[in-house]
Amino acid sequence: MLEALAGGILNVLEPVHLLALIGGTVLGFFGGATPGISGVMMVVVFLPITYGMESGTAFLILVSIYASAVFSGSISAILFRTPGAPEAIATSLDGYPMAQQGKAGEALGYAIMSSAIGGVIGGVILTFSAPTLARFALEFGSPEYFALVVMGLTVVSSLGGGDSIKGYLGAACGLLIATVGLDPITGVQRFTFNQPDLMAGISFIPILIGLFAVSEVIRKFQEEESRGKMQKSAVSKLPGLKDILRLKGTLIRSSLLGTFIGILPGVGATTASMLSYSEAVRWSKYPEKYGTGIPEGIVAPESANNAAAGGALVPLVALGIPGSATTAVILGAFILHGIQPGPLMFQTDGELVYTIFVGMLLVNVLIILLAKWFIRFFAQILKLPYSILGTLIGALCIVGTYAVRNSMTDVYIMLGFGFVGYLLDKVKFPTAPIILGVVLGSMAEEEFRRSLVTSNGDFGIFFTRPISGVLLAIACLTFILPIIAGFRDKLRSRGKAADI
Amino acid sequence: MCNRYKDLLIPFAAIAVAIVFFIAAGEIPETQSTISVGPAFWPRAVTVLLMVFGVILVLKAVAKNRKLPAGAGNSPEEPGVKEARPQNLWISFIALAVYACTLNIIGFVLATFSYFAFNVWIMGIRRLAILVPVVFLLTGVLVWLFPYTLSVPLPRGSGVFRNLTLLFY
Repeated sequence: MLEALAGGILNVLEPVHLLALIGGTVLGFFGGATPGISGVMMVVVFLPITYGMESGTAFLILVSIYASAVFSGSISAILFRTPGAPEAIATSLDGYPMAQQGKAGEALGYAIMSSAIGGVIGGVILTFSAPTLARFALEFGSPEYFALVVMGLTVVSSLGGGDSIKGYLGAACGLLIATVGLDPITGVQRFTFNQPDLMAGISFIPILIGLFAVSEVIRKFQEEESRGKMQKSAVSKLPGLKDILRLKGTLIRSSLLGTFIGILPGVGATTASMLSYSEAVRWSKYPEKYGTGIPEGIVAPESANNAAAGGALVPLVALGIPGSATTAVILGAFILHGIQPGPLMFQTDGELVYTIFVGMLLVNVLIILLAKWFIRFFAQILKLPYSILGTLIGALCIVGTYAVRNSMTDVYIMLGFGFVGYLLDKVKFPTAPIILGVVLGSMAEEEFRRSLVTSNGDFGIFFTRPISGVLLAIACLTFILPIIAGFRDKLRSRGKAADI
Repeated sequence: MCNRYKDLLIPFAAIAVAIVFFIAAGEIPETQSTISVGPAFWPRAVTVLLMVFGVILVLKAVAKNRKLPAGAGNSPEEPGVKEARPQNLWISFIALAVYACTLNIIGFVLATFSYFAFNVWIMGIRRLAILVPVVFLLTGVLVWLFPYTLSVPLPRGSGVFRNLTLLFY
């Protein structure tokens, strides 16, 4: 392994490979930051271009586009509340409020720093333990996936804007939306109302863009031009060592969680960032502050999604199973270059494997070095009057939604949720739990029912397996403890009132 | 809207949606398999949860309203962000909806051009020396980026509009 690793390091340090990494990183920045262009799309576009290249150069370009696009989705999420990539959904929950407070530069700085640290942690784990981790990921069955999702959903009480029931109601709405379409196990139609376009279900992208971006655009059109506060601070400011040390718990926990979720086949960086945000809320001493614009709300999802980007390469390289949509495209690239990913790849193409792993590590360093310049360039767009900027964002919302599945139905759904999002903002109802419910809903149901199929209908399967049992116990405690604490506080206040 | 009733709006809407979907879940066909939990189980469970949380929120809102002194909570809106141009909410939303609806008819190029021209103008940029280059530039960038460079198959429209769009992509 060490020989191949050394070969990989030397390979990456070749000038042409360094140039490929820099070029790929900048391209990924553009793809991720522009709403409507995802990392997958950029990798797909550049796949044929890299076909004629030497395999090392080709894969360094593709993985650098992939990793930097995951980060740069946060730029538009923070500046415009319009996540440039789905992985940045959770980042907008605290990033945009922070930008509204005139701290856009700091918010962007936290995003850069946490993405790089998360990516490095994910990259190091990937480099040194890919085959072992891939085998462990295969031990994770349906009950464990279900328990993990339930655990992620239980924190919605903290995302309810001070009212836990509102959080649960929002999450239930999201879960209901996720049931539309073909049943994942039997294939029968559910809530499609004879509309063929609804058979594939409602993707979370139109809901996300509608609830977050469109509602914000139509709201801001009503206001007077007042972007001076944000404009001054749209140059990123990297946090100091003191800030990093203060956030070290969130950073390390989210990076490890992100890497682990990335390793699980079929889960991906979007789920990783949402679950990581949930866990940050759970472990926080001040969960009620999440959603108001605090650094932890940016650090948790950003470190997790970049760590997950590295983690997703583990099952791809070690087992030949893609962990996300982008790694599925990279799997296609391997096949185009005549390489068969799988356990034997470490022996047959060891040097290429470690070239990719070291390249992934180096991309995170490049994110720190180049992001500041890119953001300075990208933030120029903020100088536009909102009548132009808002119109452009509106058009990008439509094009971006359409581009996901080439579906006009998705566009109409997005517009509907845009108006609903505006109304929910008006009555101060939290939208984050709805998104969490939609993102995790289909996975929750699928894994729940698959577990019951394997256990012949025995619900005990969720509690007799150690990992799922522990995860569900934590979820139950998270649900019950705030209720008990609420009753206790009420009794205490009544007792005090009686004493007076 | 009166603050007293604002808290009731969402839970009542949620309960109504839950009832509709609970009834609709009854029409989901059960499959001839040995699977213990059918395709209607999960949606029914979720709609029941939705109703339960909705009812709890209604009860909480009613209890809160009872505690309020008479006349309190009837004030119109809480002071928030200054909405200097409230009519822009409807104008911008309708413009966006019309843009989306006309994509399939007049095609992406013309629809985008019209949307930019109308919305930028109505939102305050009236000087033609700024409006015209901005509209051409933004339309050009979007056409170059999405259908041309990234090969996103955006609608071309129908009839004569399709022929017009074919000149671009």
